[in-house]
Amino acid sequence: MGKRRTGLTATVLIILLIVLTIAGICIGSVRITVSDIIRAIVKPDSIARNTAYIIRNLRIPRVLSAIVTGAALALCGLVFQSVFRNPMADSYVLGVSSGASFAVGLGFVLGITYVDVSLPVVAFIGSMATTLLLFAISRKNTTSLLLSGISLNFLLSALTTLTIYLSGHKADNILFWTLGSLGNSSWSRLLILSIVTCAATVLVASRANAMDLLLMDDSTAISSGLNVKSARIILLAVASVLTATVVCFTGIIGFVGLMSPHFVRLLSGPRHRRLIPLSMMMGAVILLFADIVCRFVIPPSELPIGIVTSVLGAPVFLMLLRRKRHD
Amino acid sequence: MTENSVQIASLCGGYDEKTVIRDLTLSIGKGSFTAIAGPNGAGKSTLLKHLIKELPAEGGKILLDGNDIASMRQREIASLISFMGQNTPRTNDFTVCEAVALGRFAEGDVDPHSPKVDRALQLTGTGHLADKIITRISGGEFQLVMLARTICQDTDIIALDEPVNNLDPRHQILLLDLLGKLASEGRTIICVLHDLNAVLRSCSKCLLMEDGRIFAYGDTKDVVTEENIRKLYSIEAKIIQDNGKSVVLFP
Repeated sequence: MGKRRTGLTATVLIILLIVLTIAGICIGSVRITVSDIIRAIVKPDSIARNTAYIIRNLRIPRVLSAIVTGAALALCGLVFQSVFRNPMADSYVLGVSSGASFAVGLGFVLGITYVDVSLPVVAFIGSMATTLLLFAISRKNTTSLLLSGISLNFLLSALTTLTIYLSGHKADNILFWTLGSLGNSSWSRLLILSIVTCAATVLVASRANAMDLLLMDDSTAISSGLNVKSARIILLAVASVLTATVVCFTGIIGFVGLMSPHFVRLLSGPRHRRLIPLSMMMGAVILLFADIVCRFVIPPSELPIGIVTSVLGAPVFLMLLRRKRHD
Repeated sequence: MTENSVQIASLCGGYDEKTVIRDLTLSIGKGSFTAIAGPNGAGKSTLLKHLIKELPAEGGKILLDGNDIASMRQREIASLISFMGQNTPRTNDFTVCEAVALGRFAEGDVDPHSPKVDRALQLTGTGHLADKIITRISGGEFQLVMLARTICQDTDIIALDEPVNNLDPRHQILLLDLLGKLASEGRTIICVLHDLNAVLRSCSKCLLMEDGRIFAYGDTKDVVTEENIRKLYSIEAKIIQDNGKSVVLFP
């Protein structure tokens, strides 16, 4: 059952990825055809310069950013859920994303955050500082870490709201960033994001069996030969750095990290050897779809992608949770 | 002279701020089926956690097959001793063979369809459950599956913490007989048990613990006595012989 269903799921996800990638390049304020895409890639001189520029420097980086970001968010969610043995854990629960939001908000209030320039750096610092603070205040066990993360998340969310209140005319900037967007995608950003995501994927995938064991109790995992403490620290550190990297480029995009691993778990079971690649593909598909929707709903302006992922994700997620995995 | 599988010398240990095991010295022979019994809080489970190095020793030494575990990595220890905990949570949807295969983690081969998984399932009589999801089998079946996971780890020493808890009499006997069979094949079984009749029926050796120390240790029939039960549990019990077997009767 497992192999067949996994193969089918992978096939469907790959087809969806290809279709949505093409759709993502075609759909937007300027209409682009499939032949334009091919020509822009193969022979850019054969089409209008503007069209070639839009395809090569705006649409393709954006679509690829959606794929990499979605995959990265799903990977982070999967790691957090496995490490905490808690299906509701993700980057936001631990306050890692809220730390970035607060830092960005504070930066705007203090006048040191500028969109496109210092914002990613400020966000990354805020996110990593929160992670380090979290590790410093809760060293005993995962329950303590999770509860500390929830507390930090509440505190930092409240402080972010305060910065919005204090920031006057810059409030829109903070608010838009906290709702997430792929509008600022570029080749250089995509390159950084891809490198970090690839490295994180290798580190997590090499621990797929360890993550399976982490789903059992600590005694079982330890007696099976897993150094539980070090596995948890490495996995959490990797997921935190990846979250910080994603958040600093795209802002806060909710629900993808939470629901992608769930979808896949329902389809192909809890083994991480299958969960890691399939969840990442699922995350990419979800974010690609959400990005198309947010560009499509109120053209020529676009909705923040975080709103789309939450509005689309929540009902589908609830519906799927009602179904159980069958033998 | 019997070869020792487990040698514990002056072990002190416990949890962060609480010392539970106090200066415990003990040798367990290879191929023995040793029960650990005693009142709640005596340190039985804590002792097992020290054996698998889930808890680091505060003092003293533990040798498994002559190897000092203090300087060993968790993977190396896992090749010497396997462990079955009490009330392992069933919070995931692994199939039975997937869960059993996790016992091969230290070997780096967790293929659910490997012959070792199949053999462990056959040995525990759970082969027919191989493709079932562990949340959908009975408590007794799950305990046998967890034992299969432990057997699949293929170690000479097997430690179990109250493995027959919550099992009906049929599953209790099934599981204890299986452990007896493993001991007769040369494996060293160390098992925390509360049921003294199960201890008398199945175990060759018995360690009675009180307050982190050894209260009595030796052949089961010499250790599980009316006097020891009275002193250790503060209850009167009567031990009678039935068809050549000792049975504890409680008031």
